[in-house]
Amino acid sequence: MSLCLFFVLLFSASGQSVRASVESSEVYVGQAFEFRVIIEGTTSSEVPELKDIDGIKMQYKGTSSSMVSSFGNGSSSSSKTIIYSWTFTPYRKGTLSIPSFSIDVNGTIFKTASGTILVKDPETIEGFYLFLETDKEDFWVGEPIELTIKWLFSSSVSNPIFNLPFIESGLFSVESQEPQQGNDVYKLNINGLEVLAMQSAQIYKGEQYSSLLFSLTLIPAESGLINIEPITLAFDSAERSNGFRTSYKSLVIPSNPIDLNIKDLPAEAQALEGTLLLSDGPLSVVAEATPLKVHIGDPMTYTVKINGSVTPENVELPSLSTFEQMTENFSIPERRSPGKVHDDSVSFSQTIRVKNSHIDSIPQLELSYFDIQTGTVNTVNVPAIPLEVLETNIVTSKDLESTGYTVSETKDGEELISNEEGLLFNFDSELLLHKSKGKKSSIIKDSLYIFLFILPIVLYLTLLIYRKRVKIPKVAQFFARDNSDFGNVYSKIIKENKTDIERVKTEITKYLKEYCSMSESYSSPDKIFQRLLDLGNDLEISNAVQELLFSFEESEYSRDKKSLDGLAVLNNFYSLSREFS
Amino acid sequence: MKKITLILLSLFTFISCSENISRDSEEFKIIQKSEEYFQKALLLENDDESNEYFYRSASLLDELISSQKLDNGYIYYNAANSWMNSGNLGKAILNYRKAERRIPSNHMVRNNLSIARLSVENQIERNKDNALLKTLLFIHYDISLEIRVSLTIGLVAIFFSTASICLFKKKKYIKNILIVSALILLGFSISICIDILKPDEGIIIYKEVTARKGDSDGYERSFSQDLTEGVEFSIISERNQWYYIELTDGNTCWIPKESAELVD
Repeated sequence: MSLCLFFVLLFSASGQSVRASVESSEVYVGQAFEFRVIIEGTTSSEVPELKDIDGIKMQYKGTSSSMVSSFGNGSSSSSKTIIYSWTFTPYRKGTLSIPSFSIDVNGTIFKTASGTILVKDPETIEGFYLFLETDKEDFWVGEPIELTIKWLFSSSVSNPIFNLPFIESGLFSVESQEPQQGNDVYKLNINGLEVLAMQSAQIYKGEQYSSLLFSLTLIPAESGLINIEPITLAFDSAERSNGFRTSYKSLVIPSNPIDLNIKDLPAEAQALEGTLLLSDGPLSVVAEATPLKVHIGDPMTYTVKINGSVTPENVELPSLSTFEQMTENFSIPERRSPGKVHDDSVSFSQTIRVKNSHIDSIPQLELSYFDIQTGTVNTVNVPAIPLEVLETNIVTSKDLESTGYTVSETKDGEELISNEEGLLFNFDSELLLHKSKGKKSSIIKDSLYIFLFILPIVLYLTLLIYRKRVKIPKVAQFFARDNSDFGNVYSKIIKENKTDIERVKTEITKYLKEYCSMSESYSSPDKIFQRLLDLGNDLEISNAVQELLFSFEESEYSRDKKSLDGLAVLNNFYSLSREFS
Repeated sequence: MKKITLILLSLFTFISCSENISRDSEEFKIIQKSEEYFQKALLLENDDESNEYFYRSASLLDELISSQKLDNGYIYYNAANSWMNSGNLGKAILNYRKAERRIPSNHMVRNNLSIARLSVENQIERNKDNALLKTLLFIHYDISLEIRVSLTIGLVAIFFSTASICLFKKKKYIKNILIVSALILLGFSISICIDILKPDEGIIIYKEVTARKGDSDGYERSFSQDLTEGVEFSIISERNQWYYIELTDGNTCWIPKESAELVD
């Protein structure tokens, strides 16, 4: 399709220019074509806002920009271009005018010239058929109409674009239907509606075709004879194979039109508007409530389940507050949950509260429904449910505080009003004065939190470095419980560098005497062992000390008095002393 | 050592203590005025008049929250009640969600949020809460982020104080304290990280907003229906005044930033 340029526009002083173009000036109804706004001299600009065009549906496609630099003859130049594209789809035939658009390019307003597009009705094409079908022609207002759209094609096709103007006509509310399971399914977007289409094969006029089929449910809002004009389908069809390449040709085909006769509901049914259900056949109803033993004001869940072919698209249980026998004895909130649709039933649940103590049941309710099969208004009874209403302990306004209920003065005295699940119950004003760091961002970035988080880590690391790299004895001294700690003695010996065994033995013996509070000039290893145990030390530690003392005695009386290493003994005893209780 | 422990404990107590605003303050007067409007709205029989007073009540609290003078679950809850009753479902759910973040274990907040969610026109499927998981991980689900952070700071102090003692005293019970505090600290840290790394969430506050497949009005619609107020989502990214969002059923789309507010 050749590019048709029919708008050439203004040039600004800065060398910017704007032009608009369409792919073709002659198209079929439903055949999409591209509309472009090309701005030269810049690569940055806001997306132009186009006004609605009568008869054309617009869809923004996107933006592309380019900058080409050229060098030669000692000079350089560059050209910048930005292109905005829209898909235009005409939905009615005739000469449609594309009006002038104002395009703001970085503060300079350009105005396009207007142009026209000739939109023709598509014609049938051999080998491609599009059908609109319904199972009947007469329907009631509100009755769902199942409309099937079927496309038969005999060659390879791609990019189908359906144009169903009636979807946006406002005559119906439209919903797509789930296709049958077990078939190949394709997702299509039709006039903003997502539709699942089913692919299969079909014989038509003695020939085999591939078919694409989907169904829509239309619910008419008003009565009258509605003519659904032919819908159109634009698609690409494989035309011929040229070597390895297949060329495609864009085609547009129309469907058949159909007439729908939408009948008004009988006067009897119209009188019940707002409370009337619509069904395809007779209905039955069951009801249940939990709990069945309640105090006044206690919430209970009342569920009504309607079995039968209720039209789920249009079903709404009449508000319980429209039943006088309910409002008399029950508090019924305005808000209610939407109905839950199951295979062949719809259930509605609502929270209600008992207002009076004398009642013994949720009363029987009468529901009216219109049977579209017989065209008559029928009634069905929601059975009564027995209740046990217990005496309430809530007697004064004070008692009602924080319960979610309040007392209202009426002509007949006082009446209990439920506060409906706490929506009418606020926290005490004083609680609102509490100030906290509620926001996630302010909690994470709070400097006090960060400081308090880091502080113990820094302190630990400082101590760790001090412990590992600086003078261990000094740290030991710092943490010494009192003067009886061997750390003092240990550091003193290390500092003086006098680690001979005699000195070490003397200091250890002296320390042990002090630690064990023993005044005798000589204390045997056994006595010290016993004393250490008495002071609450572990058996293992006491034993080790005893062994050490025995080794002192042995070295004293052995021939080789220098068999013990003073520094090793000192370190060993220091480790043991740290485990003393 | 005792001194250090005492300093740490004092600091922890200081941050844990809540800061309250005086009853004589301007803020308290605004709160009382808001409550007055709320109570008046309850007594009015005319729905329009009642809505007007609920709206006034909500606006006063909203102003107070915007001024950042007060920030707690209770003020968000009261504001949510007022928005809900004035017919602003989006703002109501937004404020209930904010209240839920600050006082997650409060059943009144949970109940009202559930009621508000039922009123949303677009009933979008959402994952059901796992009750067992919620019970087992109650610290994560029932304790606010602020308290969890405060407790974590306390645990960090306990852990490193114990580790410091361990440098000099290698008693078994000290090691046990160290291991237990490390495990609890790990649990709290994971819980906090989950909250921090979770994508931002938001609520649609416009009555209706058209979800698009790209970040401008020119793009195709994402869904046949508009998204209605109160719809909850999490943010995947943002660009040019548009949010790229994921709905609770996993569907994604773009919406204008001004049509939604974030739960923070």
